[in-house]
Amino acid sequence: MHPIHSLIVSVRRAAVLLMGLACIVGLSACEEDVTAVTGTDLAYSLYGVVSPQLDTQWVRVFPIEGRLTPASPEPLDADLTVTNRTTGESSTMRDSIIADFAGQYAHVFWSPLTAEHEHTYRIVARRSDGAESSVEVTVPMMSEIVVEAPRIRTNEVVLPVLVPGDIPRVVAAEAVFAVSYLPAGAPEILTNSFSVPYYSEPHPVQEGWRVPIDLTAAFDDIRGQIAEDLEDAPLDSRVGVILLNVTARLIVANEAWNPPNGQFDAELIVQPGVMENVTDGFGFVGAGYRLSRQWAPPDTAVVRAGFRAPEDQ
Amino acid sequence: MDRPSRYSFGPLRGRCARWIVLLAMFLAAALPVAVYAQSASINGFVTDEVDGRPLEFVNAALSTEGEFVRGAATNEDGLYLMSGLTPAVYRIEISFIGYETHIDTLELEAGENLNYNVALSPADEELDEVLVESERTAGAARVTAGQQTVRPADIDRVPGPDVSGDLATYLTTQPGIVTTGDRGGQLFIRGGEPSQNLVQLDGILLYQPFHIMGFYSAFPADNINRVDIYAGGFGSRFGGKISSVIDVASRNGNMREFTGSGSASSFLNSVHLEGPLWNDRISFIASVRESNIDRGAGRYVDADLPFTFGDRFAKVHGILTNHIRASVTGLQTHDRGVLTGNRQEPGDEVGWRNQAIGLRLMMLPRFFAVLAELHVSHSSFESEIGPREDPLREAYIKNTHVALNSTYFGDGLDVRAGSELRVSSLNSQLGGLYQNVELRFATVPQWGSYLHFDFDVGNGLRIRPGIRAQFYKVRFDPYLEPRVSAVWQRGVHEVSMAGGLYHQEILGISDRRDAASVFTVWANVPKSNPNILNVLQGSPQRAYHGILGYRATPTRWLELSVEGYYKNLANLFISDWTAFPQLTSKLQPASGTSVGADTRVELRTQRFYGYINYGLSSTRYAAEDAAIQLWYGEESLNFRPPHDRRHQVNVLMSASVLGFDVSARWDFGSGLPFSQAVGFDGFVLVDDVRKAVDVPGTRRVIYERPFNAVLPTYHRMDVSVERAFDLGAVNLAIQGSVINVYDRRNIFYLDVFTQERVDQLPLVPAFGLKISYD
Repeated sequence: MHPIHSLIVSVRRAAVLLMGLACIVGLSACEEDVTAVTGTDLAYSLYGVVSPQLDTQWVRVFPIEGRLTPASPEPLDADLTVTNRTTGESSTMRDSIIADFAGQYAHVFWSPLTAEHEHTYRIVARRSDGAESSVEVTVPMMSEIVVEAPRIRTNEVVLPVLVPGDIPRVVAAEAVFAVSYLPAGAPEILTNSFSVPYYSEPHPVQEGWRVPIDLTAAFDDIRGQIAEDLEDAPLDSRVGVILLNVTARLIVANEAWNPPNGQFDAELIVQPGVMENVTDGFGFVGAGYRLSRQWAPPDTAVVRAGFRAPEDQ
Repeated sequence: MDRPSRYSFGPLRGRCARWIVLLAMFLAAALPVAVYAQSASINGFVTDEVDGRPLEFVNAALSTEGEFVRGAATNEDGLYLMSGLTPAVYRIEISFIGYETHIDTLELEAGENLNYNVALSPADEELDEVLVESERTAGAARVTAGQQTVRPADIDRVPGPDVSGDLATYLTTQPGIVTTGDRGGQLFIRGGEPSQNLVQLDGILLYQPFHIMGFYSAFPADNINRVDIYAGGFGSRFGGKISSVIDVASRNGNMREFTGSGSASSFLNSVHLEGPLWNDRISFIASVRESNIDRGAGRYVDADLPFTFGDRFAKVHGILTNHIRASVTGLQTHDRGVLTGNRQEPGDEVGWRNQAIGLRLMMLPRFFAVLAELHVSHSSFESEIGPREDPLREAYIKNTHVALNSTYFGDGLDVRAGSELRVSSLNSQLGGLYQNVELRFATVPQWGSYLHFDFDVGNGLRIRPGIRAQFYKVRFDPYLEPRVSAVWQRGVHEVSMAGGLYHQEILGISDRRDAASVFTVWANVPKSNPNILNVLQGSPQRAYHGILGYRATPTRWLELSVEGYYKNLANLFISDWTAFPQLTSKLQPASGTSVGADTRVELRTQRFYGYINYGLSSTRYAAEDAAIQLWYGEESLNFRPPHDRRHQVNVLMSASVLGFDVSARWDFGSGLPFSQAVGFDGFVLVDDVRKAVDVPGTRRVIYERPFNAVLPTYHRMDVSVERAFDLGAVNLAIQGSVINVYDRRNIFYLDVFTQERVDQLPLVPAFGLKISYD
């Protein structure tokens, strides 16, 4: 190829490359921003419990923000009111800015108020621009724990307890078993308490809510816990595991206080939309009260379940 | 009375079937050797007489009485082997374009297995043709049944900040290969995760051989002989991974003369040396590369580049006897950097190191017409988050590997069989990174045996069925993995397909919730045990691959191909989504599919080379955590994982202009998915009748759905200009390059919590020079 022709070809190639380059450089003008957080019109997330067992009602308020920043010690742009919808009484809740154990500030609003059973309360958090989040809860009727006759079958001993009345829900049911036992070779009998959860057991019945406490399963569970505590050291078989008494503990709760599968698993509940009842916002405010009752089950049930009765010793 | 279920013996029957298939495999492997025991065979190595290096694709042809009898081409080791020959006097002709043809007459007797090695002399006037012919075995559009071969010349054409090319730079121009940015060293191939890619150097398994800066890997072009990339549908000789294979074969050193080079650039300095340790018997090749970003690009680029990395490579190759060749390869790499752009947080620093050494012994037994290979290797990989001397989290894996392969080359039928034992040791200190995984020190043995046939059916059709029996610790019975590929060539057209079943027991677990999280934890799949808290237990990861491709070469300067693929992935594990703004999470099971098509057009003339690649893909994962039903009202949540790049275009142009080698590349990628937040609030667990003032609360991020949004599109142009000068005893090459010519702000990482974004490289001018001595 002639050198001049070769040069022309080379220049032509360079021109094509440059033109292509120029076209592509034009693309640089198309900068695109990215929106990490879409934002929302919802104002607040509210958390707390309205309870007749508290003389002051507390609600923690989180503003819904576009950035993940620590809470400020400055007053929150929020006015909170609590209204007893049953009586029409209304009161303003006051902000208390507290620093938690991690040094993070928290806005917890409070009102000196004792909630009444079967009354409905509406809590409204209003921002200065008019946006508001609210929640309405009804405190369940007063009830109690009624210990029913044990149900003794071949392989199972159940101690049913009943929470009578027209109550919406029973949650956080558990039983605390006070037991004594003697590790082999130990000088004296040890007394200890073991808590066994029955979170998914409460179920509604015609008379109210019933919680079946499976004493046979509890015996296996407690024996396992004792073995773990004693690092598998044997127990004195003459003493066995003596059941001294049982304490049933539970929360009588409003309808919305309904954790998935009865379990308060923070990893599950933290997801927005799970166990939430706040309108135009996020969060959960419950209404309810705790009940507790201790009793000594009959010896026949205790022995049948695998425990020893105190009378036997 | 109940009738026994007709399925009651199902598991036993399945178990028997697996063992029967295994037995049949070994019988089939032995059959060809037995059948041809009384015939003659010939084998040998063909090398370049000048430097002693093996020559690939050399034609060896046997004829008798003027009639062609059999032909074979040498493989990457320069080996040819023809068996099943009738005892006779043959004329052998060994020819390769650019070399003097070697002709001889040989007499083969019954049962003889003749070893006949040849060194070809170059014919100077045809050298250019040699280069052209050699390149035609590779190329950007030369993809067959998911497999593509890459040569150093292909790599050198892609512009980068260095005079010498690097495999990583080339790979990122290929469709179906997705990176999350120009840092982090993560390659996702056709929907698979980086930990699902089998990357090996001379048969040595490497866990993370890609450097923290995306231009670089442990494979500089100067050290490479060839790279075979199997984007899927790989054959039965590869096992233990479910996505892809990157099989790197390093070069042998010069057997006759010492050569070397040194190069410096704005990102990396390197030294390369090779030569004979014993003329015509033993050679070595070695290189050392070390980043110099602090003193180079980091000084004049308006971006924080807190990265250091480097690698050391050495290989000794020896001709032990006419029948035995051996090589020892060693590699060390190190990487460290901060990917989030926040140097202050120790938890944002990440580092990793590879160490590997391996022996390859290649034997041509005197009495069997087979090629036997023994691989023994050991490699380890350490990674950590935080400073190396006081890491917050660390993970460690090492493996020892012994493999024996044999290949029988018959008339229209090649049979390859082998077995391998791999023992992996895993350990990690995770500091609660994954809450439902029990990770502890574990030693995991794996055994794999395979059988692979290559039938030349005729009329341009080749069928390659194979089967692999993979023994994993998780169960006693083997996992049987049938594989098949087929190629049909007719004129300028080629149609190919591939498919198979794959299992992976050693898992790499990474938190993909943000792009800067490249820390990988290695874990094995334990046997099912309801008493332990381990979401990984049960079954190894599993994949089905299917590939269908078409390739055409209508002219010598044009080649085009299109290949569709499908991958079905099961038993994956991904990070759970939590609204807690924390880096720890639970793992949840998932499955996935990846479907797409890669289209390539390649042009090559004497002075111009270019290609345009377009990749269309869709990868979908289905998260299967029990909580999904509660959170989203669906049994499983389908989402686009963060490496699902829907469209990808790569353009490369390389030309000689006024004595300069000018290269330009332009890459385009549609946006990658990320999880967009609605806002932030707080969370208090209301689980008791307590005053809210007494209950601790935490901050919370409110997501709509995981990976519900996409980042902006990515596009960038890199240009390089290079000129070589012959200075007599040495050659000098000078290169100037510009990365991101039009200074596009391409996002790498977005911190949803702080809304801080880290961009990929801005416009970076880079300079490099290389002095080489031949």
